[in-house]
Amino acid sequence: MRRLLARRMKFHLLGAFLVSVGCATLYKFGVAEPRKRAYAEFYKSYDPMKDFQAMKAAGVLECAPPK
Amino acid sequence: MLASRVFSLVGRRSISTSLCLRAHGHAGVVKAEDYSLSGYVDRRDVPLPEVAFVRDLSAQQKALKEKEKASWSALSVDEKVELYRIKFNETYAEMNKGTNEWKTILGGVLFFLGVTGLILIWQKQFMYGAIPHTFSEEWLSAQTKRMLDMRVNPVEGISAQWDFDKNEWKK
Repeated sequence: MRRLLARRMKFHLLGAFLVSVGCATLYKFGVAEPRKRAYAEFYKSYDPMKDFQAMKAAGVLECAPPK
Repeated sequence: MLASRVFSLVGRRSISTSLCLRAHGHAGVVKAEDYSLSGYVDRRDVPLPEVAFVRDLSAQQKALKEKEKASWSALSVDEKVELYRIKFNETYAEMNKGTNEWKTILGGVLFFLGVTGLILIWQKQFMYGAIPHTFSEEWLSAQTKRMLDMRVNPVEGISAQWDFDKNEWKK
């Protein structure tokens, strides 16, 4: 009973801090970093004109029909 | 009841509550009801409850209480435990002990989830009509082809899973 609130509060404050920091770290290294890498990889070798020609040929562009 | 019968001999007044009955029986002092007095409670954060656990002491317990007024080193261990049990219902260890209630709760929750599942199966079988034609195989494949042609989500999504050179899904 002695210092019941203090003990409980210390435990939960520490726990809350660790859990939230842990969640943030997990998200950063599980989601954010891979996504940044994926985008970097994609745009390294991206040719917009080739992509445009492909889309035009497939017929999905209303103002640029395949001729 | 006896008090009311005596009263009906004296005057024809109807007495409604049992409280009033007792009031007139005991020379005008109303006996306090149990619910209006302080109660005993076993709680972790209330170490010393308002009243002792045992209210009406037996003769033996009364003698023990008298002995408590003398030096405490004269009390044996059993007498000390008896005094504790008079004052408190459960020890902290008994009070904080876990139960197996969680098993019942979990079982109940899963059971009712199962019942809900059965209801949903019945609904799909007997209640709902046909799904829209846009869910047919031909429509879905034409839809996916159009998404790939438009290069939907080319970085991380569906167009990233398609190999445009070999015209097949990436391994």
